[in-house]
Amino acid sequence: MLAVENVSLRVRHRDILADVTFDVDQGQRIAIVGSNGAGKSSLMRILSGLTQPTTGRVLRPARLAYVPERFDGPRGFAVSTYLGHMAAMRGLDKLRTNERVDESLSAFGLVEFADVLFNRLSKGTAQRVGLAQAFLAQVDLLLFDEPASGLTSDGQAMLEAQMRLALRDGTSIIICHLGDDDSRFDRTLTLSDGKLVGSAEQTEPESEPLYRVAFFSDGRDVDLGAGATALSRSDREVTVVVRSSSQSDVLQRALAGGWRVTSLVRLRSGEDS
Amino acid sequence: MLTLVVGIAASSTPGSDFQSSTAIASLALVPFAVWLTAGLLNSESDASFAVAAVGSGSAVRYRAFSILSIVALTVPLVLFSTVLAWARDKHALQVSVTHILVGLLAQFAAVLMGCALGALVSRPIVTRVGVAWIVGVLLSLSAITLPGSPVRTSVSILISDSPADASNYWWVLVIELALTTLFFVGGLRLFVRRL
Repeated sequence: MLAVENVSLRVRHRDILADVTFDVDQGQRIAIVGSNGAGKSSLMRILSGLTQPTTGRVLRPARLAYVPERFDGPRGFAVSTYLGHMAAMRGLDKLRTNERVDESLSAFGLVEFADVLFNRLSKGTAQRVGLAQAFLAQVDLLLFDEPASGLTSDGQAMLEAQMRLALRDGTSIIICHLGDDDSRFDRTLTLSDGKLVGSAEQTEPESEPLYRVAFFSDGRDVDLGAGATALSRSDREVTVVVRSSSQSDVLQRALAGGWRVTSLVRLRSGEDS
Repeated sequence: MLTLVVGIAASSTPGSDFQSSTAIASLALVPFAVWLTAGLLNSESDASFAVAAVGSGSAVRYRAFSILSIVALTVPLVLFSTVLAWARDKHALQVSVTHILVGLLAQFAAVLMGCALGALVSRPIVTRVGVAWIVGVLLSLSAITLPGSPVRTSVSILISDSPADASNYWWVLVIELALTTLFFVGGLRLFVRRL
């Protein structure tokens, strides 16, 4: 999908990037992290094709979308007009363009700004327009440089929802950011002084252990709470599956209601019967 | 456009010949095209350019399309000045198609030269607006006055020769237009390499 091979960038006798190599598979979400000046934005510009590396090469897919850290849009353009131009530029026909513009305006909470000129938009709203244009058409690779910059929590939630849809369709996403919440990424690449100093794969978090618990109920009715899922129930015996985190609460409720535990078996992770 | 109209109107009294008027129009079109190109290219922010360039698939393609769009914007202006020059010729009915084509060629050469110079004084080659205007004015004057420049050559042909002689020089203007186009493409390549 994307291959970065020994990429270096030298500007005015200063090494901005040095020998950066990595690749990205289809449908992966990659984070590029590092401190200010580490070379994240320069690497994003190289990935997008806006900057040519001094040495090395980048093999990139044909369909890209890029959103810089701060997007301000062309002054004098209305939001919907701009999105229409961008959709047409990506090859959508007129009918599809109108549909996608409406959908994007809605997805990023921009409907009320459809006819507003860019020079009248706040920084956060303009940033949402920049993000909306990236999702107008199906692309192979989305490149976001600090996309949460200037976004409210609502805006970040809208972005996250759109990214999930794009990932589901096989789009790869590369995001560079300063944040420390990396659990959503398949891999985190760490840049320091222009060098790739770390590449951490995100492993699936271990599933919470489940327990199958059988109770002697003696006909009494007890509310075990949301932490228990019923498996079977007879006149005198109830069998439930309980998550580890809810185990004590469920047992307390059962015992307080006069039930007795007849068996407790730990299941394998994810197994529910 | 106002500059162009005033230039043509002031350069000749009613009844002056078509070629002189198109020569004046060619001179006026150079700084106009520089101003238009530099103004429009500089009005686009770096972020906006980056998004559109990546979205279109190629920064080179997007920039080339932008500049060619600006060239296209000047087409009505060239046609307008040609009609104005023809209308002010006291022998308008004697102006041949060849004369009109020669006038159009000279003006398009001026437009291409102006657009190429405008691209060269735009960001990211010249980043300071004040410097860009000064350099733009100097380059415009050079394009108009330096011996051997396509614009000066075509204007000289239009001014110095009688209508009959000028129509014989159409091939010179074609060569000048080709040279200007090469300059335009060279300027564009330099511009794109700096992106």
